[in-house]
Amino acid sequence: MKPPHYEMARSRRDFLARAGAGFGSLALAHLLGRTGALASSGNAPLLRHHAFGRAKSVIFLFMEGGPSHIDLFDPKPLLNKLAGQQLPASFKRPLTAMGEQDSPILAEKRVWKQHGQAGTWVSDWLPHTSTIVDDICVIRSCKQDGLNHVGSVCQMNTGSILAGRPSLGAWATYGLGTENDNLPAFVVLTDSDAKPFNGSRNWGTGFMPSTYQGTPFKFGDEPVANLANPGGVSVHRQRQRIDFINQLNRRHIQSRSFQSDLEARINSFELAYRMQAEIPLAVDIADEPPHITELYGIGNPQTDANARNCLLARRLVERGVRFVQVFAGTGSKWDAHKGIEKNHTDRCAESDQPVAALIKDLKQRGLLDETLVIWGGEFGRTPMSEQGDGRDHNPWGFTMWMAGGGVKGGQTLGATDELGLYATEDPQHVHDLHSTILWSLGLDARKLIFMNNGTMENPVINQGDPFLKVFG
Amino acid sequence: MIFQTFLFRLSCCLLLGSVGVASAGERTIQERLAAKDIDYWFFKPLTHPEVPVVKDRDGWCRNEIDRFILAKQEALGIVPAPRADARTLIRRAYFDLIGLPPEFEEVQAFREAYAKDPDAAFEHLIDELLKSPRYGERWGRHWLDLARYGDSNGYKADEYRPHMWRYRDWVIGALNADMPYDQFVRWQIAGDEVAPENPDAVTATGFLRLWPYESNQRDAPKQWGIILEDITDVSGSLFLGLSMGCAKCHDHKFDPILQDDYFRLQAFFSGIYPDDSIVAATPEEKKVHAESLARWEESTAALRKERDGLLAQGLKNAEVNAVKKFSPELQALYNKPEAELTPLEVQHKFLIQRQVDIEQEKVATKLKDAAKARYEAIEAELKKLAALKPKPLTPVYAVRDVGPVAPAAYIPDDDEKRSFSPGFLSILDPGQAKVSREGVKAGNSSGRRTALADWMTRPDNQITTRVMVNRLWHYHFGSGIVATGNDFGKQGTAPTHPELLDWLAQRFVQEGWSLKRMQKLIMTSAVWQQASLVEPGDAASRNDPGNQLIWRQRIRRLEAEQIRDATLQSGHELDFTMGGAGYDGEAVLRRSIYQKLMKNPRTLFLNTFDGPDGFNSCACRDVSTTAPQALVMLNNDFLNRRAQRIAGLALTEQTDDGSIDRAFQLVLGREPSGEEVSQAREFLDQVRAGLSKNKGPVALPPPTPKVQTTAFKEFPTSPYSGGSAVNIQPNSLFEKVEVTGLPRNEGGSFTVQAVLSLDSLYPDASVRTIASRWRSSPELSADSYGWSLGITSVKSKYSPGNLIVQLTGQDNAGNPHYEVIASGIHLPEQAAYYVAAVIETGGTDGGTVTFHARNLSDPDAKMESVIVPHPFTGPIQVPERRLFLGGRDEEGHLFDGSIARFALHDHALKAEELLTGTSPAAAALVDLTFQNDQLPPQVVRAAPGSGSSPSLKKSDPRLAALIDLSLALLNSNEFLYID
Repeated sequence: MKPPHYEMARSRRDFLARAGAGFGSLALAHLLGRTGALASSGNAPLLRHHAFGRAKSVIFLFMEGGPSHIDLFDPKPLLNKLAGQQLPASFKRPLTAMGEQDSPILAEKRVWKQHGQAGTWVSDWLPHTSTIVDDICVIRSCKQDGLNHVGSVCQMNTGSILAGRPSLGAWATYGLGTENDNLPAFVVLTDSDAKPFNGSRNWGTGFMPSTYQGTPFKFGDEPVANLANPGGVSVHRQRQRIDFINQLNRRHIQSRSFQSDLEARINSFELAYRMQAEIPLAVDIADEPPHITELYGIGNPQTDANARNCLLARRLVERGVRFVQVFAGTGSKWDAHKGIEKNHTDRCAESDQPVAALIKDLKQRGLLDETLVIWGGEFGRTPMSEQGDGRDHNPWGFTMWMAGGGVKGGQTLGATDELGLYATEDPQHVHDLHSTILWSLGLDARKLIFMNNGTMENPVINQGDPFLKVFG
Repeated sequence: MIFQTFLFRLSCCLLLGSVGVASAGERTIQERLAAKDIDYWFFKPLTHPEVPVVKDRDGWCRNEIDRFILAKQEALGIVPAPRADARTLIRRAYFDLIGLPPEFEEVQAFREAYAKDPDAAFEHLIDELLKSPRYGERWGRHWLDLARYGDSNGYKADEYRPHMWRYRDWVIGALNADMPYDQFVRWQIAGDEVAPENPDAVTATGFLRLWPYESNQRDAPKQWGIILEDITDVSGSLFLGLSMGCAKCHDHKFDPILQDDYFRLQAFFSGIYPDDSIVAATPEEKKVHAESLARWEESTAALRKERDGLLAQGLKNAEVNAVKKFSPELQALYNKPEAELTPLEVQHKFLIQRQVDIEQEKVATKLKDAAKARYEAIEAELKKLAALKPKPLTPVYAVRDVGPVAPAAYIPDDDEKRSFSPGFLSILDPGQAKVSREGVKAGNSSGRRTALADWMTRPDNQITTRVMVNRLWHYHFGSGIVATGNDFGKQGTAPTHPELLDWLAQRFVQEGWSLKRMQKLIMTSAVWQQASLVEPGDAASRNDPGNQLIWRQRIRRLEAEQIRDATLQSGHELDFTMGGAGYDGEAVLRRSIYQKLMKNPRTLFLNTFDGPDGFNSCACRDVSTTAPQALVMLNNDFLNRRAQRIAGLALTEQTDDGSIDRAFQLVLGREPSGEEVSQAREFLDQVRAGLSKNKGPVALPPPTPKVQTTAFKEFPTSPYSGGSAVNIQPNSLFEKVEVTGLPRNEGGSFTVQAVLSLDSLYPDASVRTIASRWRSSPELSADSYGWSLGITSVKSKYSPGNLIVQLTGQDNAGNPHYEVIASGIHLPEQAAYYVAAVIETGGTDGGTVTFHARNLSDPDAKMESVIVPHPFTGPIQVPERRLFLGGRDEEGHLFDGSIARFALHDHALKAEELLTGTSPAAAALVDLTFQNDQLPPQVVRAAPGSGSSPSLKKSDPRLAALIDLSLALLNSNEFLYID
């Protein structure tokens, strides 16, 4: 990538000093979506609700398409015993997405071992994850309401299978604001040019203002849309443009000092200008030493995309970004309706090393405790086969794991039935998972209120509780 | 007032403990209601407030509204602001009513008129704006916000809905016609019942089709439930101003709305059937169509039978495969005989059937070998007979009822399986709604929606009338009398002027539910016309610092669409074509309301500037200010192109000061002050200095003609041209020329005419371009739309020397499409020729190109004419593409020869209206005769080898500096905010 050709960012203090008269703290708060800005509509988010809040940032590693929990984290010996037979009558017959609920049970071909001091079960598909199990808490009893990708991805990202609600990242940003004024508070990374199911709705704001929406970053000359100056416009000329805009706007505001968003708008240009400088620096991984890039698997064609995203996620939380949503297998590539053997072999090989490296890297930098990392997809997969050698969607019981942010590692919580079809012990609905994530950030999901059309909205739609066992 | 009676009865019940007549269920309802605040103002009948008597020492009041406003202010010692100045008034009025800024000349004219007679001038202004077709485009957008309009299904696949725009166009048309609001509501809720023979009323029920739809959801009953919930939620917010959604799972926590009420409201809608075969056509049109279709069917019966035979097995298999994906219960439902299905099952089956249809549509493409060949042969045969087939009637997304008996509404997952009949809010009327089929003109309908519409449009309905006048107030003041326009409940905000609200509600009904009359009333008030730039007096600071009592007008930011439209309008680029299928992306320069609005992703401006999400009813746009907005406004190509255009216009002034004046006039509608001029001049100098430091001045390179031809040459005189022509040839002085200064764009149907002589054909596959507004592009997108008239090469597959039109535009399936439309008329070399192409688009199927050509050097030659159909329905152009003679908005494809005359009309000319006709049309957009060895002033030389990229010109420091100045003005708060 091109070296950044922007001026170094000025410090915020420098900027405040320079901006001089007419600069109000309210305007800045408004701009950053912090507090008070929406007071007129009754929406002023609280900062932390409780003392537990250990995480400052969240990295959500979203394995899009639905990885098979029964082939990765939740071994079920009964699968191979019943392979080729129909689901025993003792199991309630689910309504599956592709309608093959009567297909025979598919054997799994994994070698399972217990790893780490805690003896966490991980299959041979994830050799690198096996080395970090003492830092992660495996939750085997996740469940959700959607049956298709569209509803399920939507719910995992926004809490509802129906469109129109803010994403979890937007809620976190609304609740806590940002730690770095020069970067977006909520960043989205994808591992290919493919679009995730539902696209930008996964990081959208639903009924909230656009202030809280996620910003997609990509590698390359223009990591964020509209970040680069138009062709032929130098940094110097851009500065001249902004200075002249400021001149116009300062004159305009003289007789309108009571209108705080006019000030906010003046400052938005300064912020934009600083983002133009800061974002290219944040995404430029050229300054990472070789042992780090190798740890993640940068340069290896199979792992490169996820390795870059995981490394970038670390660089972003290091810089104070609140919420990083990383899509791995973007475009539903974990969706192994047939040929799960090939599919998951590839997906695991692409993501296993980068994911494990992220945990190790955060830990060695002392960042793990203040960063909550979540791994998982929108659902798991069925014990029944589909099209002979694949597995269908299983939203009734599947596995996710969490690490950092106060999570007690080396745990395996919750359970599914003997075939991994339904969550049976400590079932964790998406609302519970979201409550848990927000809890780690110090937020009480039911108290995080946004007024919309007369309804007191919260991230979990008045349902779900934090799964406190996760934190030990 | 019936409501009053009931409230009285209810209070009696409360006082007396219980009333014997009430059944157990009803008593429960009353008990449940009693736990709420049943005295809450919103549910009380409209009051009849007297217009307050005020002191009004300054003679501030203009109409009754002002006396309500001033009374509250006087009570607190607050003095309202004086009238704003003329420029502020016209700008505010323009944005409020038509969503666009006034042009500088309009501002000047208004100021003059205002100076003579302010009241008359202002009233005239309002009348004119209310009459403008732009009005519906602004106010239609408000309604689309409320109705959560979108052009796609939402969900993952987010399929485009090719006919949804007809509802959008209906809304715009109805508002332009000032359709009384009661009728406006009635048609959207029950148009198919009350006026089934009126195509517009049927189109209006598109309101009931705006729910998101998931095309592969296998749980049909659940999906149907979600659809009904969506309609209930939106109707509750939109018409009743209540957060009914809160009562979906339990009695409303704060308002006297019971869970029953949610499902009683839903029951009005539970009979709908979203029938995709509904067309918007009169009975007469349907009859004619059916007859002519029958004729076509008869003449194609054998062919179609054979075709159907080829498909039969595939269709069956597709059906089996699609149905297999549903649960055994739903499969059984699908296979039941129609007669045995309950109405609810018919609705559920509809959702299964749609998925079957989707599978079956793919069958033809899967045919193989002989069957495929035969199928294609049959299709080809059928295509030959296509002329016999009547044009399809206008398809719409509308609803009808599933039948005369509508299913009840049910609470999902309710153990008691309670069912609900239609009913209004229990607090107003706890009984069942009286549903009668009396006013229902559709034969097979339950009448439920008509009953709801009747209730909503009762003149004494305190709910719906208050909600609507409050919305009007909101859109004219930036905040409603009740600030939360979709929530009048206790969680919403209390009305600032409850008496005024009730007075307005009743006036609204008295004025015949006319929005426009109410708006005129509001806008001719002193409170609306107040200045916004006044400092609060002591009393205001002390008692009402938040300006709740409106002692000054509120400053408002433009909304997403206004920002986009205003930037286009500033450079006079806005294309005012109305209606039709939504266009893609930003390259088409029409008003934003006509953009294709996929639910996902949203357009650049809606996404950046707090546009509605298309899922929730949006009563009030957020105003967030973010750094990404600044990035878009500074760096996005769309904005920079607008700045470039404005700079180009400003550059026509000879001096810096003149250009600065012009730029301010274009963007801000005013002249700059002396200080502003000197600061802007300084800025221009800085930019130029910076540029020349880097690169040195870049000017257009001098002409370097390699081919030694004269620029002009003699041309055989004809009635259609003079005796000279300009040589347009590769490597010559005029390799190609650009035509500038068109008063407007040519639109979807237009006529290109030229008198020319061709020297040679291209040896390769390139086209000799006569005229074009086009840049070819390997990728089809709205950005590559355009047209070109030219002559094919020696190697062309359309045979050499063929007069062709190349079109890229939107086809009848709504997709970007490229096609060569060849006339089969061949032009010889070295002969004076008249050529014309009459390009017509539109309609549902496409249009035609009519070619005409005549050899002028042969006195006996006859006009050759040919009509060639094409599939384009429009739009087919990117107005910002430049109009060239002799080339395209890119390199290559140059003309070789001379052009003596060129004319472009913005409509399709009939044969007699052509230059060669008996009565040539006047009023051409441009009509050029190349005489006297000079280019007409509108024609400028394009640099040799220059492509489309304006970068060469852009780096001209004077232009570059003006681009920056224009961009800065577009970024100014003065541009983005309304005082």
